[in-house]
Amino acid sequence: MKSRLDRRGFLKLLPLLSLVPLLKGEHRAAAVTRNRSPGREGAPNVCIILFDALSARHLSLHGYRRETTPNLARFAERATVYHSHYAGGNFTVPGVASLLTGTYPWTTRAFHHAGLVVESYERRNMFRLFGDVYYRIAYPQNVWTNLMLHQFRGDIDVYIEPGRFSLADGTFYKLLSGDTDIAFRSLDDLLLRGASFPGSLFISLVNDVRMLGCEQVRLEEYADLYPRGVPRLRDIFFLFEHVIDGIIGLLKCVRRPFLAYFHLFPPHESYYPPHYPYSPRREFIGMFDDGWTPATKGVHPLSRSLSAESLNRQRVEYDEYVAYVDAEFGRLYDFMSESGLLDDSYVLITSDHGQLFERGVHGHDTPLMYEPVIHIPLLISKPGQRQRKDVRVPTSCVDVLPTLLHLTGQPVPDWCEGEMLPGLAGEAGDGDNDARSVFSVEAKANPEQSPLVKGTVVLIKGQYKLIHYFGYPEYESTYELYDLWSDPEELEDLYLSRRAVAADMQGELEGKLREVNQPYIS
Amino acid sequence: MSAAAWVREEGGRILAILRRKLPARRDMFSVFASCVFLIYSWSILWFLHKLPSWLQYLNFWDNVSIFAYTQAFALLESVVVLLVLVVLSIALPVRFFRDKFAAQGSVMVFAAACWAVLLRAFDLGLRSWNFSEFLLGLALSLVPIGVSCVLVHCSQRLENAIGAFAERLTLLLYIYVPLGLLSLVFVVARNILELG
Repeated sequence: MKSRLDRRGFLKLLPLLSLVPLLKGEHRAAAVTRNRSPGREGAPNVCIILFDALSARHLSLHGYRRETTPNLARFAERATVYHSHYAGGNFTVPGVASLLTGTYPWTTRAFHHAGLVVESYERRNMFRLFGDVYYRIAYPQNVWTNLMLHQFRGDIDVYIEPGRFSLADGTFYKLLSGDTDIAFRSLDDLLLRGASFPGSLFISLVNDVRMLGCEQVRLEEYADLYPRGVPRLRDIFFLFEHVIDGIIGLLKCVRRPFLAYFHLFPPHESYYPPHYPYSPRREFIGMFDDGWTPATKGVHPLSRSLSAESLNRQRVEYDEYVAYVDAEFGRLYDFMSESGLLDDSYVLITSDHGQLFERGVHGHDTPLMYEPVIHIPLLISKPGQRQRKDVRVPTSCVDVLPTLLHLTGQPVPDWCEGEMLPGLAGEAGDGDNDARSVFSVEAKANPEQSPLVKGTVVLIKGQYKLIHYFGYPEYESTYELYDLWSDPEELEDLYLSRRAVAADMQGELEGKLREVNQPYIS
Repeated sequence: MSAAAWVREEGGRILAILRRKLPARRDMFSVFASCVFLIYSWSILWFLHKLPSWLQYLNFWDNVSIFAYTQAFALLESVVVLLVLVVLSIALPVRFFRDKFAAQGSVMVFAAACWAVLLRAFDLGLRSWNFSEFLLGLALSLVPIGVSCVLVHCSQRLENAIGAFAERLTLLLYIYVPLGLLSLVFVVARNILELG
C-alpha cells in the first residue's frame, strides 16, 4: 500500500485550499501596514485619554454640586472646555466607533453590544489616517473596545491588551491571540461567563470558583485600601493606580510624534459586581454622604423602574468613584505638566458615554438618551496652551477625528461626518455654529444590514434637544423636546407647546433617518 | 536488578492494577455518552439563545466559528468529566464504583448537571456569593450526587434502567464526537492561520 502522497493525491487535495477563505469567513482582519515613514520632525503628539462612562453631568467642572473633579478643573485652566459635547450613542460601541471613525453609528453600523464597524470602515479609522507620520499606541482597557480595536490592529504600532497593568487577568481569549474576536465571544462571553447562563455546564463552575478565589485573595490583600473590593472588569482585577503608572511609563519612553489612545475603564461600574459596582479607594468612600438628593423625575415607561432611593445611593457611590478617578488623573496631569508633554502635544480628555441615575434607570444599558448618558466631557489642551477657553455650542464626538487631522496638518477624508471643533484653530474660521445638528443614536435592536426600525435617536440643535423613540411597542413613535438652556434637567417636555421648533426638528430628524436607512431598503 | 528492569517491572505492576481498576470500555462509552449528551445539549442551547443577537451584526462564518468553538470546548469538557470519573473509579473500591461504573457514573453526571443548573438558576446569585457561600453550595451539591450513587448501588432495577438509558445515549456519540473533532480541527486551523 502506498504510504507517500503521490502527485495525483496532492492534486486531489489542492481544492481544499479553496476552503481557507471559508475558515476565515468574510474579511475581518485589517492588513498589516508596516511600511512607515519616519516621523515628521516637530509634529505635535496627540494623546487621547478616555474615561469610560464618565458623565459630564457629574463633573464639578461642569457645575455639578459635588466636588468630584478638582484635577480636571486644574487641567481645564489650560484647555478648551466643550460644555455641550455629545457621544455617538449611549454605550461603548457606538461611542468609540464614532470617535475613532468620525462618523455616526448608523454609518459604521456599530450599534450592538460587542458590535464592530462594518468592513468598509475597518480601514477608515483614526490610526490609519495618522499612520504615515505618527507612532500609534492603543490601550483599550474595556474588552468591548478591545474587540473593535482588533479590527484596526494592522494600523496600530503598539497594542496593549486590556489585562496589562492588572493584578490578575482571568480571561481566556488571550490564549488564542490568533483569533481574538471569536475566541473572546466564544470562551469569555458565551461558554465561561455568559450574561445569563454560561454555555459550559461544568468547567464554567470551576472557572467561577477560580475567579471567586482570585477575588477573595484581592479582597484580603487590599481590604485596607479597597474595602469594597478592587476594581474589576469582567475577570480582570486591577488597581487604577497601576494603570496610571503604566501609562506614565509608556509616555516616558514612547517614540515621537505619537498618537496615543488610552481607553480607561473607570469610572464604569464593574461587570458581575459582587456587592458594589463602584470600588474607589478608602479615602473617597463617604465623601459625598451629604444628604443631597437630585430633583425627582418620574419613572420612564421604557425604564427598569428602579427606586429613587436605590438610584441616589448608587449615584453617591458613582460620584465617589469619579472623585477617585479624578485624583489619579491628577497624578497623570502632574506628570504631563512636569515632563513638558503638554508643551508639545494635543491632550484630549473625553468619554464614550455617560451614566444615568434617574427615571428608573441605573447605568447606560437603556433606550433612554437623557443628558447624563450622552453628555460627555471634552477638554483639549493645545501644545503650550496656558489660557482656558470655553465653548458652549453643541459638538459631537464625530468632530474629534477631523479636528485632530486638521490640527496636525493632515488631510481630512470626505467621508468624515464631523466638523472642525470651534475654539482651536485660532480666530479666523473659528465660527461658533450653534445652528448645526448633532445626533446621537441608540439602535442595538436592529440588524446591521437593515433599516433602523427600533431605537432612540437624538437631535441637538442650538438650545433644543429632540428625542425620538421608535419601534417600541409600548412607546411607539414618541417625541420629546427640551430646552437645554432653560431646562438642563429635562423636566419639561415642550413637544406640544413649541410646535414650530418641534416640527422643524422632527422634519430634519425624520429626513436624516430616511437618508441613513435608504441604502438598506431593498 | 538494573534500573531499566526495575522500571519495567514496576510499570507492569502499576499497569496491571490500572487494568483491574479501570472500568470496562463499554461502560466508559456509556458514561461518556451521558457526559456528551448533557454538555453538548447545554452548549447548543445557549448558543442558540445568543445566536439571534449575533446574527444582527456577525456574518454567517463568524457564527459558524463560534459554534465550532462551543462544540470543540464541549468535546474537551466531556473528556475531562469522563477522566474525573475514571480517576474516581481507580481511587475508590472496585466493588463500589468500577463494577457499576456505567450506572454510577451516569447518575453522578446527571445529578451534578442538575445541581449546576440550579446554581446558575439563582439569577447571578453565584457571582454575588462570597467564597464561603460558594464553597457551601458546592459542598451541598455532593449530597444529591451521593444520594443518587447510594440508590443505584442499592437498587439493581435502578442500576439496570440507568445503565440501559446510558447505553442508548451512545448513539449520540456518532453525531457529537465527529462534530466535536471537526470543530476542534476548525478552531486549531483558525488559530494557526491567525484568521481572527
